[in-house]
Amino acid sequence: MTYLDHAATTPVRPEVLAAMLPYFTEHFGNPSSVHRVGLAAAEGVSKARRTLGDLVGLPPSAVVFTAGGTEADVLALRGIFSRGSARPRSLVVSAVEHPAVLESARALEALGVETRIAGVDRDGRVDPQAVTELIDTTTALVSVMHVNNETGAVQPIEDIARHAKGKNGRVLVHVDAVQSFGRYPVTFTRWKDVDLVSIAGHKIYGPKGVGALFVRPGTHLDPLVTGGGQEAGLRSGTHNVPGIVGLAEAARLLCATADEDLARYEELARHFLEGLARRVPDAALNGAPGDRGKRAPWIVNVRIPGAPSEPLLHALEEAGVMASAGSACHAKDASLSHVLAAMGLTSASGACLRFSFGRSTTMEELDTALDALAAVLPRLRAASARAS
Amino acid sequence: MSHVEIAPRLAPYDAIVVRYSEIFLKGENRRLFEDVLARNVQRALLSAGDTGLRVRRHHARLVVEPAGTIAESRLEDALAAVLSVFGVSSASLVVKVPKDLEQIAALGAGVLVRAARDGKARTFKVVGRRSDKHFPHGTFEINDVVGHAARLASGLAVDVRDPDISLVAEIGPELSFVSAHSARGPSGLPVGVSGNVTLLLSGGIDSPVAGWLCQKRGCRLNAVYFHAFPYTGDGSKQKVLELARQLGRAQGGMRVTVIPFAEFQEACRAAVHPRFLVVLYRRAMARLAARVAASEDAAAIATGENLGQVASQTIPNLAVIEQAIDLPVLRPLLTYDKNEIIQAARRIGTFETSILPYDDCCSLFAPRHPATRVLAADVLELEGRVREYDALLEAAFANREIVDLED
Repeated sequence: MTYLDHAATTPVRPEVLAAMLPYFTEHFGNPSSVHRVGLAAAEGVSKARRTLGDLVGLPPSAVVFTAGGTEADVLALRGIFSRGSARPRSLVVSAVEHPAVLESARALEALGVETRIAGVDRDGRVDPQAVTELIDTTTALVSVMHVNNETGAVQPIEDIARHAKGKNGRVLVHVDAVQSFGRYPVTFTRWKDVDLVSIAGHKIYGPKGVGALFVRPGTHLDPLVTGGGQEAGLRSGTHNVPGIVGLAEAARLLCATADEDLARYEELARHFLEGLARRVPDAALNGAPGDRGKRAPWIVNVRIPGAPSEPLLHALEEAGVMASAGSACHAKDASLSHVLAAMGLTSASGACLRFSFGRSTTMEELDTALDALAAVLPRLRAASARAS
Repeated sequence: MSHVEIAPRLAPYDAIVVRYSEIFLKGENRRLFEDVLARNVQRALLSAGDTGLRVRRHHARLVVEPAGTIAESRLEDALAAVLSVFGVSSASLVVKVPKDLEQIAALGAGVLVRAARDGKARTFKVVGRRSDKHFPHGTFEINDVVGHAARLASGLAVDVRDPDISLVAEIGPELSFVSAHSARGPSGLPVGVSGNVTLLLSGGIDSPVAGWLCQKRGCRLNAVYFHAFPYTGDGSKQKVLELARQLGRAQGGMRVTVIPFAEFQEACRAAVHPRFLVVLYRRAMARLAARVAASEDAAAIATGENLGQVASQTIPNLAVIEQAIDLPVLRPLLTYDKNEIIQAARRIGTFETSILPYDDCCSLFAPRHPATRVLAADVLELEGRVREYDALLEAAFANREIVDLED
């Protein structure tokens, strides 16, 4: 099997699993208990909090554990806006955000929050100037993702945040870094004007069902999940101790090799695109070409004219190659994803396939995938041509 | 016996009496049909998780009772299982009684009070039956004594013509009980008595309902699913298997034959005008289904086809489809409106699965304007144009996958 869908999810690393296992059995305690069984579990959570805080340059108290990336995004948005207000309020997001952000923004409209959407260019990138233009005195939050999950487009986070605060000093900035964390540097020392960052365990070779929202000290949020007051009242519910331990260990391991991993992804992307151009000359890349910093090299989204997306994916699957059309969350929609549509593509553009690489991906695997693609394509193009 | 005061006595239900209707019509087959029904009821109880209940025949009814005593909630679960069995017209929770008129009246009043607790009923009547001729009181006296106690206890009025509740008091040589409860079953015939049928099952709304209706008339189903991979993904196949699993509950599981169909479809696309594709596909599906039927000892195939639901479903087209095979084609939904089919799908519980978002027919192969009248003579000529027609069907059949779903 050739798994080229790491942007959908990654396998748990054996070292991460090993770090988690004692917290299922030996240290099974509730971190909120005062006895030593609880304290052993609490120590695991504290250590994870320190590890993550150190990685992003914040104190441990700035780490809020959640049940995943979506919950972290929703906590950021609703946490800012859930308290009612008589004054007009607005939120600025990009057109290519994850549904966790876009749907939360839609839900906030019921609370009277106006959502303003910044478009993207043909490469799927947001212009910081366009974001700034949407900000006024009513704007409380700007939310822009770091690396797009469908295309790999990298947003100029530092510029966006700096311009946003230049326009309105009270604006808070949230970044969904679910795809980039552990691959690109994600730190609050570098992102001086960013206040909130979301990450998820299962995208970084950690477990599913756990994530974190980093909250710059001094940023006030209201909780989404209320109850026993865990996570300084921001996220009640007994801690997912093994998950939290796994998240931190996965983050620690991945951040340690981020530079060398990135160099490898660049090589892999180059190899893949060259191989694709040889085998399918009319295929095209969705997004910025290999310019360093504009597109994350571990995500390659390509357009293949004259072929249907979903049958192509199934045919690749039959050949043992797992890829994706857009993001897995809505690969079942026949329509084009909102991300590709925002870049000006139409469903007539052909099949859009996303190949996303991981630490285990090899050049040979890419050749296998490209050979499979070249092998199945004529059949599907023939069926597609006769249908039109 | 004079009208002494008899206080009502509330006792838990301790058996289920199961009734069936049409089996009476079956003359010499009646015994066989009753056996099949008893077996199906037993199986339904087992798959609902109950092994402590036995089923026995009792005067043209079945009685479900525990070997010892069981909690009433378990008996209520068993009732739900019984009411899902085709051939069951109704079933009642009953309280067994000793052969003592005073106690029968007390327990009878008790079940009536219980049945009337929701406050909806205003009237009742007593239906006394005495098949044990050693019981010293006649039917009239049973009705009189039980009715008096029940009326005083419940406050309901007696209406012998059209009562809200019938309070049954039955005294038989082997079983005596009182009951004021009755729930409707699906009726129909026990699955199995009409033989085996091969159902063309897709992931849509219609074909599961067609299968359910065949089961209701006693057919035991096996299913065939035409899988157009890679044009439809394995998600569609999983959905079809889930639907088959749901239908299989009425018959202790189901066999599904999955036949790869994409290569045949591609060959048709290459050979004929898109407007003829639907009829060509459906004739090929009928042929392949007939081969499955032969190996499954089925005497007919069944489809979810309907008259006029889509443009290709015309009488001439349905005729030319069934001419492809010798077996009868059962089309239980032929005259249903779409909303009637949806209502039925909701009732039988397949609707939620059917609407899961997996395309069961890739739009690449569904022409926008199908022919509404393909003639028998023309269709043979069209099939002749499809390169390797017989070999493709042969290969599709040879590459079939058989999935046996357990209950």
